[in-house]
Amino acid sequence: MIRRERRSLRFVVGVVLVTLFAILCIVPLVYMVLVSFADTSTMYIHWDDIKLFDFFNYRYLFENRNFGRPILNSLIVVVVSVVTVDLVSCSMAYGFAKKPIPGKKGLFNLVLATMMIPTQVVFISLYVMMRQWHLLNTYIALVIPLIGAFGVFMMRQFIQGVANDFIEAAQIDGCSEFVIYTRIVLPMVKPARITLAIFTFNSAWNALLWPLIAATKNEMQTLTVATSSLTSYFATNYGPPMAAATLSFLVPFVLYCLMQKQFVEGIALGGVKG
Amino acid sequence: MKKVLALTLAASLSIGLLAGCGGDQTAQNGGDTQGSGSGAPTELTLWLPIYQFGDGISDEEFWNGKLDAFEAENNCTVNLEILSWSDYATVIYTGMLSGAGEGPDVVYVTETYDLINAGLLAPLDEYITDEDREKYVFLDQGAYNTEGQLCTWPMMAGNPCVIYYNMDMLEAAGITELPTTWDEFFNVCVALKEANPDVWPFIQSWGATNGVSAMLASFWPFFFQAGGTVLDEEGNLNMDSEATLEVLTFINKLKTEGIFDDSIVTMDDPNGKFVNGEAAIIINGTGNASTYTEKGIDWQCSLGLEGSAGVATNFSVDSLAVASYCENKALAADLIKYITSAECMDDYHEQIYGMPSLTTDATYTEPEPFQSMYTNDADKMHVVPSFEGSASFMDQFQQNVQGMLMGQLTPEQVIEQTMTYYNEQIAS
Amino acid sequence: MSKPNRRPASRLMRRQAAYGIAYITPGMLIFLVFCIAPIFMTVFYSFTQYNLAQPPQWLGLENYAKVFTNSQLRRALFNTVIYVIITVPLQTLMAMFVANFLAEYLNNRYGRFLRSVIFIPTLASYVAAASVWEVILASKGGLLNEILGIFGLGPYNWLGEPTSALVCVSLVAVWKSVGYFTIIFYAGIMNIDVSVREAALIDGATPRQRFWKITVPLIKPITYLNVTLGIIWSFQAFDIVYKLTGGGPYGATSTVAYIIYAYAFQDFRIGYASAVAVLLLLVILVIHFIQQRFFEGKED
Repeated sequence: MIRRERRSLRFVVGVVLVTLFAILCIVPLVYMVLVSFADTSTMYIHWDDIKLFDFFNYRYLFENRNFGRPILNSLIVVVVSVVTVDLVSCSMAYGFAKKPIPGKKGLFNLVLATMMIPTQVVFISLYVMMRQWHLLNTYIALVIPLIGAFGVFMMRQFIQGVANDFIEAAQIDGCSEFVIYTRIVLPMVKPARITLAIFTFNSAWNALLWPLIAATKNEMQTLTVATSSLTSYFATNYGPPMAAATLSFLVPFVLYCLMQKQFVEGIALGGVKG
Repeated sequence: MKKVLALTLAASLSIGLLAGCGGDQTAQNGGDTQGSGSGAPTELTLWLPIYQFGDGISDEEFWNGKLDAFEAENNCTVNLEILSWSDYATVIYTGMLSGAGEGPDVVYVTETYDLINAGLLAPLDEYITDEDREKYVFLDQGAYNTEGQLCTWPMMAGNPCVIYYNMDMLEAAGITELPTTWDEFFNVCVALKEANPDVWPFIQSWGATNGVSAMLASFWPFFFQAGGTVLDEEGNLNMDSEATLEVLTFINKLKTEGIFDDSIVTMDDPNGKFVNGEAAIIINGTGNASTYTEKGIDWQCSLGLEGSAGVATNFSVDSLAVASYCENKALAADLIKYITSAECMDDYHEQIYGMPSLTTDATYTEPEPFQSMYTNDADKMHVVPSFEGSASFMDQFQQNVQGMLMGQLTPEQVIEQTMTYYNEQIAS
Repeated sequence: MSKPNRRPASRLMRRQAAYGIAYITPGMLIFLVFCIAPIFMTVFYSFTQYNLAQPPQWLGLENYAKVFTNSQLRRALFNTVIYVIITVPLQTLMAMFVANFLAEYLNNRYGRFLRSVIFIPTLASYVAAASVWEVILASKGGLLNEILGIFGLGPYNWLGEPTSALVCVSLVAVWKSVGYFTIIFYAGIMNIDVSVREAALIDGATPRQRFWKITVPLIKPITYLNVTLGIIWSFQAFDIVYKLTGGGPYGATSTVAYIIYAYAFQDFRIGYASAVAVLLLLVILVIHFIQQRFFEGKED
């Protein structure tokens, strides 16, 4: 480790600047939570309108706007997509990393190339396709676009790191292919799988464009879309939209507080290794 | 355990996929055979938008109560769905494109051009009797296809845009008489501004999320006062006109003379401003009057100003339509007639949303001063028709008006650029 | 290798290949059907007129001809480029400086706490972020103008002026994503071999020299990754525009991605929207190519 710098003026200025920067990062979110408790009908928010821990805006969302449903929808989409992405990415990554498939390089590059494609290019035709197959307004439609090349790419990097000796030793011991995959390879890349799960969770929970077009019926709206369509009704009452935004922020935030290490290390892993 | 769950989920997902792929065929084949089953009640899907914005009985409850009688009489089931207004036209268009089974059989439509153009609306002529023509007063305000057949049946006709004045604020500025001409109106705005620089004398919605809602109250009333017509006799877009220029010049004057401030281009809720007493004058539909009264605004209103073509304003006609894929069109037409009959509509106007009565036998009357407006001034109310790419046209128009209000375009340029864009990019 | 050995080996290979194919087939199918096929479909639609109601009608290059005279699109492309020019360098440099400071000089509990805090905006959706920034930036009663008002400044119409609206949208995007890039840089800097940095320290390099001469070259692959991701993401900016400004005022914040959405899913001009989308793809590819040159073929 590098020895700490002398507590020079420059160091103090740096600490102050970075601290200010961190404050700037969270002030808007603190403000969001505060206003979610505000009872205001004009555009001027007064501090005495804010009644902390009086959940009337939240009650309003659940009682009058049926917010239970979009929350449930978002949870279903998140769970199904995290599991599906894990399943698809790991098995493809394992195949690409460890198996002598003819034409492997070309196939892998094909998958990889899709990372460069803007989502809009895919979404237009995917929408047409889903419509023809009567899959719009289904959970399947909401989950499908979350399966992406990134997971395959990242998992391949990590599975490649698994020493072949382990696999060969297991083969000699007569372990079946399935056992090698599930008992040896997958456990060894568990941190990477958690990273992938976090990524998938984040993009599923926060997605706007695809759910906006693929789920036109109210009962299939996700929380993000419901939050987005809420504001237009309440242009001068900021309470309910801020309560909805707070709700949609709360789930990833609680998860982050519980699994901070995995979040931070995961993104670092994905970034440095990927 | 976790893995079992994962596998089950993945399995169910892939089954779902297969079912999805297969579903296409069955849906197509099913189309011919469905409906021939005898005895079983016929099903109709009905989509209506939400109109209950107050605390009263919900739209669902209201209609389910009313539809029981129709279902019993016709041995059918009506599946009602109440839709929210967000992206309404898009939801209807995509819903109807999905066809039978997923789309509605009977649907409340706002913008009709695309639906008719795509052949999604069934002509209703054969279901209209002479008696109906006598009874339903707004019937000829529906939308027609290129063969001249009526495709939509008016359900909500009215809500004309009128000018509301906050009388407390007018009195504070020493104004006792409501203005009648554009010039008088402008002078009232100036007087209001001088009396209280902190409030908006007059407010418009050029920052609305889309062009249709932006132009509704901010442009069309003035346009008709100036004698404009949206389409010419051959049905071509006629916005490149003197009337348009006159209106834009007037709106531009409101900005350059300081009646509007800079946030006019972004503010998306002018109504809230009027309700909160932050704006003195607003143009809005008559349906908002009760809210203003509830909020304790001392308001008066006039139908419209007097432009070069006299007093005029716009009103809207939203209608019901039968999907072309509906298997029981006669029954669907009956359902429409039932919904729009006095039996349903008198209560609907009372309990859900007030609008002029649709039939000669209806008893509901709008509160004054609106009822007399409908009775005396119906000829001064104009409909903005739906035309090819109307939504995109209005978006573009709104955008260019924003440019004008920000001092980047002249009124002439707004017209020129919008028309160029329309002709090159939107019109086919 | 002797001959008798080859047979069993190749049989084993073949079996392994079969396993491999089994592992990748379901996933490959999903990719082919839901990701790769749609790309080709979109390219096909871009040569047609298609409104979902009637089957696509072949138009040839007409959509593309229209695209090049579309003033709305030109403005959107210009806005998008400005957006990328503001967001990508700003978020990359800020993340780099903050990460460097945290890793080099504040490698303690407080530093890690700050790092955790800086990451928090990344957790919020763009919808939540835009919702709250809309309230903060409101011209009347907005938090920012209230604060500035204390110092006798403003009020400013942040989202009502074309230039400031685009800058605000870009800065909110930077606010939202800088934490993500900070984490990646932080990990990259921590990954640098300690001996390298210590050697520099012994050599008496100043902090500035250490940063530019040692850290920056060594984290070049990470910078490349962050810039690549940043460019790809920024070129597709949709959520924040959709929620914060709706493309206005006067089209000042409409981006290409936003326009594609409006054409395809509000107007249902699938063919025309496809042409715009294909164009966006080409722009991204060209920029990616230039950028690869710039980083001199780093990452194979």
